Order: sequence, then structure tokens, then C-alpha cells
Amino acid sequence: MAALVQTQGLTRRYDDLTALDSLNLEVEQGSIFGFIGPNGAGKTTTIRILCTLLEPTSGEAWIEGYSVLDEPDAVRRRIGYMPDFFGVYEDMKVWEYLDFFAACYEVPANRRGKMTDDLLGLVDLGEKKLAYVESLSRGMKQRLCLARTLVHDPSLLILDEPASGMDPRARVEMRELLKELRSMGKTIVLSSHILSELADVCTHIGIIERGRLLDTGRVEDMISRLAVRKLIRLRVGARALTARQMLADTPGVIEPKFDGEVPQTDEEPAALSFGLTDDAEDQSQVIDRLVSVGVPVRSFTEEAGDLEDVFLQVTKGEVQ
Amino acid sequence: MQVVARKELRSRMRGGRAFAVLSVYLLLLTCLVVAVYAFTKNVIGNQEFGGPPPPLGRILFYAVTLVELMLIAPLAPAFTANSIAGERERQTFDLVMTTPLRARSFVLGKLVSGLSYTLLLVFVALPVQVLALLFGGLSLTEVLLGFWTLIVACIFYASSSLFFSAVMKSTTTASIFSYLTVALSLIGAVFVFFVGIFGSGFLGIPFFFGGPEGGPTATLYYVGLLFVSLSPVTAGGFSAAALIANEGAFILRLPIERFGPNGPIQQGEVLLVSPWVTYSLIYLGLSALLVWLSVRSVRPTTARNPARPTRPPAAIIDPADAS
Ligand SMILES: Nc1ncnc2c1ncn2[C@@H]1O[C@H](COP(=O)(O)OP(=O)(O)O)[C@@H](O)[C@H]1O
Ligand SMILES: [Mg+2]
Repeated sequence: MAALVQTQGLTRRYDDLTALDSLNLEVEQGSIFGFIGPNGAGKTTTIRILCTLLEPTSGEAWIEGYSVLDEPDAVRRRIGYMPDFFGVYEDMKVWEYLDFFAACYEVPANRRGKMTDDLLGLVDLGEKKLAYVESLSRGMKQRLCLARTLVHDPSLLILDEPASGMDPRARVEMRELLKELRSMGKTIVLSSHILSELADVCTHIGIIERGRLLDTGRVEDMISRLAVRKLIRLRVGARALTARQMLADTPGVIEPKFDGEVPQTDEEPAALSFGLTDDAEDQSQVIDRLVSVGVPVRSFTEEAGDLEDVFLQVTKGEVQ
Repeated sequence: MQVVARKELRSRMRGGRAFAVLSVYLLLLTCLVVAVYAFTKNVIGNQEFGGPPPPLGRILFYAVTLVELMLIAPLAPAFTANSIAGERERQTFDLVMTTPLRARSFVLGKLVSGLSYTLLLVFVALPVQVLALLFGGLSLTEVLLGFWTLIVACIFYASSSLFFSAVMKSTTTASIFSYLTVALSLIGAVFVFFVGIFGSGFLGIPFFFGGPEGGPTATLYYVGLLFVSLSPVTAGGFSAAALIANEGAFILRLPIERFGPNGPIQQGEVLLVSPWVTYSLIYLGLSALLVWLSVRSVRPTTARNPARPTRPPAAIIDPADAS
């Protein structure tokens, strides 16, 4: 697969602070790349460099092989950028807004009309074409801005925190929209400081913290490679409180807790779950210990790891 | 450039605000004309001040032109001081800067849209000024001079506000600096007037200052010219006064005199360009410089080496050892 975005040793310093530290990144054509890390990790800094808005202190970056530093115009024509915080021209009509940006991107005037209609249809704003931008709701403005990133039919969309501040329904719609854009052949880079916002749309992720890329790759690969923290679900017929106490004292067991109701006496049945780290004892030994203190184990199952586990593993729990 | 200018003008002319400003402005000018007319007829017309009164047309014209300048001066920065800083403040700036739009087009578009409304104000008042011609005593050259002085002032006020808008982060500071510049150019005129009095021999105004022999030297004339040229009020005023005193529209001949026992003795002549010429050169030159600096300061990044771009290596990293 060809890499649409490539960076080499990308570094950006602000006085003493190294916001971005030798970032080597590749984004494959046709992927949805989730750029994940806590606030202040350097996501926006990276994105602004890729969008030709910020110069790196050192390092190189290419979009479709065009140098971000040497050929900013060629790069601009290939990128649709949605910033984390942005404003819209309130005193324009919705179609004028898109038409203005299309003109900035030198889209021929005779193609703009149809394109505007198509894009408004795509983001579900067709009925607002003649409305003033100021009359739109926040979510609508966000969708308008997304439509704006598409006016010049770029091959790459770079969306900085696209889901932040969205209500759950809007977030679901956004995910659908992203999948649709991907099926249209767009490559998408999006950032987030909350993993769960994006987990299910991304094909690839890169985890960044304090300006350093901790890990990157295909989502499935990273799960199988890194999901070593297993989640165990346990059901007991009685002695649930004893079992929980014993698990808490076992090395390698993380966060044993009750699923559902917390039993009031040691005689009630209950469901528990806990994590097991790589260096924990063998699972059978945990079961042995439970049985040895008289816990009637009804079931003991391991669940497959997910992206959340990868995240916790890579960041050692320092990241949200 | 047209793209930005069209968008700006469309937004600006939309709604009643632009029209309201225009109406109030014309109303004020009309009131002024009526007031000056009545005043001249009743007071000066009575010859209470002795001597023949200046022609009505001339009074009318200079009053209107001066008031026009005073009305336009606070309006001109309002149209451009927000233009670029406002985009930064409302976070629309980055969106435009990620398009291939040239910085030059962006800045000139802002300038053209801001300036065109200000110039509109000058043009709609033109009939009033031409009307003054009909009252007599006023030459067409004077009208053209007044008109030109206003236009140059508009260009400078728009360019300087644009510059502050480009280099300042907030619209508030951009506005403050813009208004300071405009105020300096106008209020500075009062100061300039007293300094400029050096060079005012041709007006027949008695010398407030002079050399030991009493008369102004050539150097004093040059310095005076420079100071007079720093403000549209004095530059226009002195150039007009020269016209009225039958001096040329472009070149002035000023006497170098010395006070003798029987009055001033002419010792020679010095040739000067009319102050409006130097004023235009200074103001338009500064405007061009400020616009150029604005263009340079808007783009957050510049292409490093477009002629010989770097290319990505075939494979930069092995993802496995990225961590
Ligand atoms: N203009 C700036 N001046 C100084 N420090 C900055 C500037 N912009 C960002 N930073 C710092 O760089 C680091 C990375 O910021 P950013 O890229 O915005 O992080 P993220 O988008 O991942 O939340 C932060 O510590 C931030 O404070
Ligand atoms: Mg950010």
C-alpha cells in the first residue's frame, strides 16, 4: 500500500517545550487513521504542520509525495482540513460559503453549483442552502465545515478532534459519514483525546504522548500484538466476598470488581470481573487458589482484548 | 483577489447598515451646505468683517471638503481594521490559509472591499462639491485638488488599518493603532500648521519666526514643505491657498526676503513643488509599503525551496520499531 502521508523526524519546539519529538508517521492510502493521545500530546501541532499552517523546527513531511515545506500549494490542493476550533462566516448564506471556498480552491465556476448541492446533500444540509450560516445550529455548522473540506475533492481529509463536543447521536452520524467518505476513496486522518470516540471507525491508529509516537499500526495487528491484558469474567455460587478479597491479594490481578449487584452476605452468588497482566500466574493457578479457599466457581471465561486494552498497554494507563 | 473582495462586499452591503451610514453621511453634508449657505448670506454677506467676502462657492467647497475628511477619517479604519485580525479572532483565518489562495489576493481583496466603501463616500459627495462650482469664485483645479487630497487620505487610512489588522492579533489593538494613525495625521495638522507657518511667506501671513534678518531661508521653506505635506489638511489647505494666490498648481515660487528699513527686501526666489505633490508621494508611498508588509505577514509559512523539493524516501520507517 502506498503511503499518502509520510513524516520523517518531524520536530517542533516552543522555546523549551518540545511539542513534537522526531515523529515518524505513515498513513496508508484509503485508511482511516486515528491519531490518539491526551491533551497537549502534539496532535494539533502535527496536523497544523501537515496542513502548511506551521513550520516544523526540523524534519520533513510529505503528502502524496509532495513536500509540505517546499510545495505547500500542491499540498493544500490535496488536503481538506477541519480544525479543532473554527469559526464560520456568519453573514453569508450556506451556498455562498461553500462557493467562496470553492473559488479559493480555483474550482471552475460552472462546476461549483452542482458540487455545492451534492456536498450539502452529503452532509444533510440540502434544505439549508439558502439559509444564513448564523442561523445554523452548532452541529450543522460542523457539518457545513466538513462539506467545506470537500469542495476541491481532496484525496486526504485531516480532521482535528472532529467528534469533540458532539452529542452521541451526532457522533454516530459522523462515523457513518466518515465510512461513506472512505468508500468514496478518501483517506482520513482524525485526532482524538478520547479513544472510544473513534475506535470503531479507524482502520489504523497512532498513539502519541508528550510529542512522541508510542505505537502505530493496523488496529487488528495492534490488538493481537499488544492485548496482553486479559479480561476474565468469573461467576461464583457463593463466597463472593471472600473471592474478591483473595483476588485483590493475588499478584498480576488488576481491578477485581463485581459486575452488577454487590452481594450483601458471603452466601449469595455473584459475577465478578478482573484483568490479568502478562506476568500474572497461570489462569489455572488463579482457579486453584479460588477453589482452595472454598469458592464454588461456576464459570471462568476470558474475553478477547480490544483497542481499549491496547491503549492502556501502550500508554501504561497514563492516558485517559 | 476578486474572490475575497466579492465576498466581503456582498456581506458588507447586505442589510441596511451600509445604506444607513451612507444616508446619515449625506444628510450631515447637506445640513452643512445649508448652514454654510445661510451663515455666509446673513453674516459675511453683511460685510461686518470689512473687506470683500470670499466667494460663497469657495467657502461652501472648503467647508464641505473638510467636513467630509472629518467624517471619513473615523469611518475608513472601521472598514479595514477588523478585516484580517477579525478573521484570526473568529477563527476563520486558518481555513482560508489552507487554500491555495495567494496572500496577495487575500490582502488586496480586503483592501479593495474596505477602500471601495470609503471611496463611495467620497464619490457620492462629489455632486455637492461640483454644486459649489455653480456659486462662482471657485476654480475646477481647486475642486480636483480637494477631491484628490481626499482620495489619497482614504487610501492611506485604509492601508494603514489593513497593516495593523494584519500584524495585530486582536481587532481591538488593530483598531486602536488605526485610529491613532488617523488621529495623528489629522490632529498632527494643528502642530504642523504652526511649524509650517515658516514656509507660509507666500500667503502674506506675517512671520512668526524668522532668521536674524527677519526673512525665511530656503532651508526653512523645504522643512516647512515637508511638515505641511504630512497631513491632508495642511497639504490640501496650503496647496489651495497657493492656487488662490495665483501660484501654479504644481510649482510654487516663493520669495526669499530680508527686512530692510522700508519693509521687506526681496533677495531671491526659491522654487517648491506644491505641498499636495509631496503629500501624495509620502502617503501613497507609505500605503504601498504597508500593503506590501501586510502581504508578507499574513501567510504563516513560506515555501522553503519550491524549485528543488525534497521527495520522500521509499520506505522511511519500519512500523514495528516506531515505539
Ligand atoms: N503556540 C504555542 N506556543 C507554545 N506552546 C504551544 C503552542 N501551541 C502548542 N503548544 C504546546 O505544545 C504542546 C502540544 O500541543 P497540541 O499539539 O495542541 O496538543 P494536542 O492537540 O495533542 O492536544 C502542548 O504542550 C501545548 O501547550
Ligand atoms: Mg489539539
